[in-house]
Amino acid sequence: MPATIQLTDVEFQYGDGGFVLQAPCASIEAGARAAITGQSGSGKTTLLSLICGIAVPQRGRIQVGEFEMSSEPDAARRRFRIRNIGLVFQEFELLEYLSVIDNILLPYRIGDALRLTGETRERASGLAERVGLGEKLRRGVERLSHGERQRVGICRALVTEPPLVLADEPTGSLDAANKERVFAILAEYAARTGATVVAATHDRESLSWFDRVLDVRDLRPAITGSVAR
Amino acid sequence: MNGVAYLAWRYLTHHKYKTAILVLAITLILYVPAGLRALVRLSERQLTSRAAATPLLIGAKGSPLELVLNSLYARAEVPAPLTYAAVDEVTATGLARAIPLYVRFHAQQDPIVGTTLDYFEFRGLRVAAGRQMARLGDCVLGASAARRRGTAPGGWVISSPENAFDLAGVYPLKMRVTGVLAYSDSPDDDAIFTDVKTTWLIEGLAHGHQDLTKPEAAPGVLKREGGAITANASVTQYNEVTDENIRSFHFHGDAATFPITAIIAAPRDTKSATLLMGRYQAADRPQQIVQPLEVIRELMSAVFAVQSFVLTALIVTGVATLATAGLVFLLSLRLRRREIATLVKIGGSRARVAAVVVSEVAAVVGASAMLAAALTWITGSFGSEIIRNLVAR
Amino acid sequence: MRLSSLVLSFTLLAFLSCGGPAGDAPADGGKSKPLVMTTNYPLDYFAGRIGGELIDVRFPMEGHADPAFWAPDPETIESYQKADLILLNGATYEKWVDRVSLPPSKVIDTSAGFRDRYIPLEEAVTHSHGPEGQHSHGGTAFTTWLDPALAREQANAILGALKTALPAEAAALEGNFASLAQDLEALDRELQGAGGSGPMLASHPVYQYAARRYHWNLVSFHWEPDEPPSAAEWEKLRRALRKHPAKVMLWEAPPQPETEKRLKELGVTAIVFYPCATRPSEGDYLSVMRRNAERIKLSALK
Repeated sequence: MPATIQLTDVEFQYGDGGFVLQAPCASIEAGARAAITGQSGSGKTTLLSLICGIAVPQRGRIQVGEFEMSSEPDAARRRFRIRNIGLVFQEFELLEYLSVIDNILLPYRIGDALRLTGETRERASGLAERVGLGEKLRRGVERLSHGERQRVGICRALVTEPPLVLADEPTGSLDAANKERVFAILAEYAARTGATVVAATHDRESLSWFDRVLDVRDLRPAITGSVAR
Repeated sequence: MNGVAYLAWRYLTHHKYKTAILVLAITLILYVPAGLRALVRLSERQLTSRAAATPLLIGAKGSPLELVLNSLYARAEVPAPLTYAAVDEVTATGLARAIPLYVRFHAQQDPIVGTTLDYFEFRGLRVAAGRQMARLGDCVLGASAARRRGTAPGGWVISSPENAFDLAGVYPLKMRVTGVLAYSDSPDDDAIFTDVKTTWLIEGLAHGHQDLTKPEAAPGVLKREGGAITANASVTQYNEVTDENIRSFHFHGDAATFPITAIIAAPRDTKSATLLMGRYQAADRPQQIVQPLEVIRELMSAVFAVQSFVLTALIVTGVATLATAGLVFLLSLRLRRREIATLVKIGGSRARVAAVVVSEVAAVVGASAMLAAALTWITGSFGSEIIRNLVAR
Repeated sequence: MRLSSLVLSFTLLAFLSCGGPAGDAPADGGKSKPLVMTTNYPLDYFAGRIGGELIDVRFPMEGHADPAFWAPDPETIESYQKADLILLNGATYEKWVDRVSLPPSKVIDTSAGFRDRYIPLEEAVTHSHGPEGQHSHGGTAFTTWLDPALAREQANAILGALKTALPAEAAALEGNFASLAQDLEALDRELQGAGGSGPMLASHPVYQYAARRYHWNLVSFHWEPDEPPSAAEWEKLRRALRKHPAKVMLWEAPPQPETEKRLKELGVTAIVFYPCATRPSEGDYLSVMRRNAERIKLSALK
């Protein structure tokens, strides 16, 4: 079930009082492929953190589908996140001591809400095969190339078949060929499941892949409705 | 929680050298004091039970500890001898059964214990193979001694000379092995038992030789004066007792003057024990009477004093080692901070993420504790013979 | 402190497990009778008289050889080792005991009580070699039971040992002993009254204790009943008779008729006085000894 993201009167400030993010009213509709742009340090990552409930705004309301992200307690947010949101990181954040398949299955080992079954394992190895890692399932991730590592990271995000994928600079440390591949995988997934994909990026070249672009700084003058495709 | 255990296992096997070193260090720090205590406790149990099963020991005046260790373990220094007359003296009191011990000679490493058949009954030793010794020159072996020597009934044991320059006597005697005792988990397993008379034969107080009144012995005879025959050294002396020559074996002098190292006195009852001890308290007595249990308790209190000193040192070392191990864990936690953050971001539950954090420490400490416990158990179960050798040498 | 209580409990445990004085006497009311083994027939007889049905008595030597020169085979030694009581005659009677292993706690030397009254043997061979100097293989006379007074003391020693083994039967044992003692005293009187004054001869030196008790003036030889004495031995006898005009000669067994005849010619009557060291084919110790006494008495009447 694809999810709409709705931010209302959101105001967030880090504890040291330096950085402030304001989003009076913003929404990303279900099934959208949205890019969040902005300079380094402009708050792209912070916005993603707020959407997935890692950080909680001091004021305002964040909804992901029916889920009230901004008012639920931490445990509920974590449970929601591991089940419904796939996260892709710029530095991949793989566990060095695990093999490809074990990294992909990680959510099932650390989340209360998920159960590791034979079916899950099949899905994981199917995913890996689809991204060209079928031969390297048992290999330690230390021994993979950059591109391969990011593909493992994406498989980990998609293995739970989440309706929402959040990616923070997913291609930031990749060469052109690998960038292509990452977007191709995400596109294929979105097309297959109808999931919402939101990616923070400062890479102008890749914007063409998205059907919506939001600038963090533009959140304040209230962007309502959807940008035409 | 299987998922977390799986992750911990992966983590530890991935860093196998680090894990091995940590486990080794913590195992040692737990095992060394625990194993030491187990050994001390076991030796205490052995020493006390052996001592308690030996109510009274009579020996020549001298070190009580030497007397007890020689008599109970057939090792240590040979105490000054007393005469066999002392055995008859104890028997004559009617207060106790007197069992002589002459623990002086060896066959290679194994002690030869000269005693009487009463000893076997007193200690509850049973002949498992063959039969009990029957005559001069017979011996029975403790279970471990027989195994070590690879000797069975029908075999031989040859006594060793006391030292290479011993010209006067102590000929090697070839003894016939008539039986092997059942295993008793006691120092008796390591000994060679023979009749006290046979030990006198080893000492040269008895011997067998050609009949000097017979013509075959003529070349060895220096002179005959009436009933007195003087022989020279060429007269054949036997170094083995056989059915053919046994009748030629005889003792020189009165057996009452022959040496033994100790007497086990098994008193009829407590009152007899007290009376018997009273008799040996007199200062002009050339003998001493000791209660092995008291002597061993004194020894153990010294051992415990040393043990607590050693344990203190070990505990200090242990604390230092554990602090170092703690530091290692803290550093590894630092290294894993980013991994932990990832788990939180993905949505790992609080409990599981915490479990991932502690699982490394728990697994290492747990494995070490189990290893140390297993080693301690092994020490406690199989240390028995090691201790006997430790105690007695 | 925990440790000391541990020591204590181990000690207690050890005490408990070691139990009472290990296997001294068989428990009272035990089903099997104590086995008493002896080293000659007289001891067997005395033990049998005193113990009666309460014990099993065995003297394992077979045949009529002299038990004084016997050595048991390994199986017999083993059976001695397993006996509940081993009765020795003592007085250097059992030379073999020095060369075998017996449990001292079960060995009773029945003549130990009169060790000071042993009669030393004179004609011992001594030899010397090595540094220890001269030593003698001689011993003492050992046929102690031929003096019924000493026999009574030996029987008394047996009584003591049996009472220790069977404390509950003390009264019965005492009764049996009293009857045996009476018989021995009667025998003593008979031997006392049999005469035997004046010089006597003996074919073998075995009658020392009887001779001492009854003041027999004995000269002993080494004559075998079944062998004719040599000319030299006859000469020795003739010479002895000059200083020692004996009229009788005691024999352990009937001598050959030829020997008896030649003795007669010298005025010496052969009298059989059985030492009874082995089981007699007829009668028992008492009847054999009585007939010994009668034969001496008859000869004295002649």
